[in-house]
Amino acid sequence: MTIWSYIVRRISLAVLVLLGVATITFLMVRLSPSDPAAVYVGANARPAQIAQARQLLGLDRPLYVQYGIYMKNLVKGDWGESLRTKRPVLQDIMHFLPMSLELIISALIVATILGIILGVATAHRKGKWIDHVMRIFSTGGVSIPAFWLALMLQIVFFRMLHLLPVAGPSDILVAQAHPITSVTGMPVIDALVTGNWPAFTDSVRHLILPMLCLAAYPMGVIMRMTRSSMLEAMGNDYIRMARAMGVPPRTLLYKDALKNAFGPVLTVIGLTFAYSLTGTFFVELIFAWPGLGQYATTSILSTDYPAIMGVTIMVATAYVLVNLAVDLAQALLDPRIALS
Amino acid sequence: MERWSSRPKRVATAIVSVVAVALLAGVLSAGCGSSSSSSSSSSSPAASADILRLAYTSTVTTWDPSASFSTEVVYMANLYEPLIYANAPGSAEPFSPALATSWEVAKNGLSWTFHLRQGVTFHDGTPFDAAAVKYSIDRTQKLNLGAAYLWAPVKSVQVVDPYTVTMHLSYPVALDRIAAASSGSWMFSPATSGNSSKWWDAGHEDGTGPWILQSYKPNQELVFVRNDKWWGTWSNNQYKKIVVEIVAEAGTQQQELEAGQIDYAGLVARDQVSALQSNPSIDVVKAQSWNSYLMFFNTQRKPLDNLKVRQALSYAVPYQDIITVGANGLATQSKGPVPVGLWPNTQGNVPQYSTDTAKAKQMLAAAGYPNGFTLNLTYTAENPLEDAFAPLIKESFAKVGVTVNVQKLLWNQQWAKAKGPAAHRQDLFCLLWWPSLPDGYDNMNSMFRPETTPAWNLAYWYDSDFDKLLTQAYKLSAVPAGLEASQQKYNQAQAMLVDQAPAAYLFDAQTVIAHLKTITLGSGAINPNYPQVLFWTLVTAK
Repeated sequence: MTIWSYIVRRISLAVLVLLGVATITFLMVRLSPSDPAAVYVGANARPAQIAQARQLLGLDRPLYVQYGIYMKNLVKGDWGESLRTKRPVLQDIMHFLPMSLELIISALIVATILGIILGVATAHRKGKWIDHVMRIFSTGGVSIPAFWLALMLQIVFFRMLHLLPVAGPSDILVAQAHPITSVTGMPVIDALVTGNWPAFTDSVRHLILPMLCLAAYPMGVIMRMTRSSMLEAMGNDYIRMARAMGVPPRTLLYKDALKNAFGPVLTVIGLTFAYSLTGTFFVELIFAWPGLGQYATTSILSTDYPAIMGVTIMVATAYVLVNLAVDLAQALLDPRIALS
Repeated sequence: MERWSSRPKRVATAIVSVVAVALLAGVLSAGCGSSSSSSSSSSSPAASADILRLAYTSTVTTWDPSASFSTEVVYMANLYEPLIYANAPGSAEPFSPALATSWEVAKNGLSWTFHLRQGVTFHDGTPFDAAAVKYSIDRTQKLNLGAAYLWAPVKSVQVVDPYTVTMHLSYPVALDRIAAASSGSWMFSPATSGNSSKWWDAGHEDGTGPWILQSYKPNQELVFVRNDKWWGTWSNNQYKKIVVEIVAEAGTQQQELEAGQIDYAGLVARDQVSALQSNPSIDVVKAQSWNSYLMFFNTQRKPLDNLKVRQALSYAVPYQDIITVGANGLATQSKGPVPVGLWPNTQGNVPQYSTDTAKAKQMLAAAGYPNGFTLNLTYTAENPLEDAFAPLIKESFAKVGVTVNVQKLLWNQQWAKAKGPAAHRQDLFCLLWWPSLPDGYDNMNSMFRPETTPAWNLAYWYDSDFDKLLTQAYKLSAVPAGLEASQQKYNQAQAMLVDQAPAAYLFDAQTVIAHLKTITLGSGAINPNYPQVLFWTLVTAK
């Protein structure tokens, strides 16, 4: 199978998956007890206003009719209108997504680099103190709830050490004095490309704590996966032969063993990227980070069903695309893997 | 062929180096950051005398002044102005001039005349005049959204001359209270005529207020600048710009305040008040509010349809414990559904129940329930006070043999359940209420009047005598000469609500906010008649 036919096949399957996700989410949200018309009108709404809104939003129609209209619009690219913000859901998502991507991508870069390096180091020093210490870190990273870790980071780095700001993407006064020109919607990148150094420094400082919080889980997973893959690779005959032939340990580890151990690690990196899209929810809430996670959390708490559906579909799409990218990357890196 | 050549290794090394340098730069620059703010953190620049930094939880449901009736009131109240303002309790006069400088009511109460302030312009430059008043009220009535129902008694708005309007009523009402309402009473520019709701919701406004919306990032940040053409007076120590950060968590707001990253935190966790008060850089303000908590009894369902049972349960409520634990002591026990201090409960002469579990048990036995029964209670998940006191009600009711199953629901779900099919409704409904205008009539009218479909009368309680009494009281209050008679009727109505116990009236809560000592909140900056609102012109830099 050629790569293009593989991609087409995977995307076709992905469309079915997304339709299924959209259907299940629609039913779950619409069947749960809440009144979307009341959300639309706001607190203190009078019955007549709610009834008016119900008619305006088409909520007085049978559920299957509402479902049909929603799915038809979805296919046309209309993801509905948020009951809270009154803006198109897709517009809202595109507005908030860059902030989340900045957080997720920076967290994953840190998690991947540190996870691989530490995973290789602990595999090489299996049973030694570094292996035991890193096991604690990786287990902790995976099992500590993100919201608790976020609070602890705030207490340690802000309250106790006074090193980093507590929340938000920027300092208000710095942002007012050195406004960032939006290019990508990611403050750190935008400040960097526009040469706005005060805003860049400020944005980096504000990014550190939420990034560390979000990086903890993927780093733990990547570290453990790298370690176990490396141990398996290093047990092979060709590694013994290379060692016997005097190949330097660093070359042995990073060139010979790691390249063969990298396959599962790549898969895990892809999965943790998709996981991070939902992992940001609590992190953004606690750090007041105006990204997709905070938008989703607020939507869930106010039962803003078009927004809930939009975010769910976005996350599902990300999962599908990331999985496809990982599979393609694996096939490119390892010719033994056939796309089928 | 070597797949892992030295190039990927160099790239990886470069990436690691860049990340490490960036992190180090961030930490180092933080360590070198200014520490001149009054708080303990070294990570923020000094507070600005020109920019006021606020943290709110309030998001915007709509920017349309005719439709606005939700948490965006904190912004709208600074962008727009009503004809008159209701003064805080204890003031010499009940109302202050705003866009109207004087007003009078006809003897029969069927018309009110407002004399308008001259030389006022809207933010778009359009002059404010009688035609603008007529346009604003007519449009609000026509759209019939938000708080439009408040203007229902107004039959027509007559432009007498460019600076005089007369409002003709279908029946007498205290129109001054309506004109001073916290929502729906704002005047806006007729030049906005023809703009759709989408235009407003994109972040447009056009009031006469002292502040102008400069930028709006939904769920994130709002920036307002001073309206230099405002009819009021600006002084040197008033701010030129307001930056609002939307911060959903009380803990985060508190930490930002302690760090000096913000000047004012609109949401304070009540269990943190002592900690904040002990901070030498922070002032905690506990102000009177018209927020009141009550618990409806489902009077359409056994055994709560029995008056004696409801009265018994009213004695079983642990009022002081609820105040201590639920409100951290920052409340007083309610006297009926109207907060003490708000007309017509200004003097607090309404009776109240006390906690007496022995009496409650006795009354339940006399009512035919010596072994108690089971009730379902719902409360709002987003409300930390209800989350704290709901278990106390459960525990106290257990002492009189009543088992309470507590259900925590998101507000929308709780409300939907209460408005849904009768068989699925709750027995006990915990609610936080605040009036839409400076008149406790709104509390009684909204929560205890008959409804064809349930909205706010979530006790589902209907009493024609109460209905008549309330209507009489309201109409009498329309003119000054009728106020005394109106008060008597209201006293009877409130006493009836306590005696008939369609709800247990729990407590009147104080509003709590915190701010840095570098700012001063002037008199009237917080006014219970304008819930959640901070009037920014009354905030000055020290």
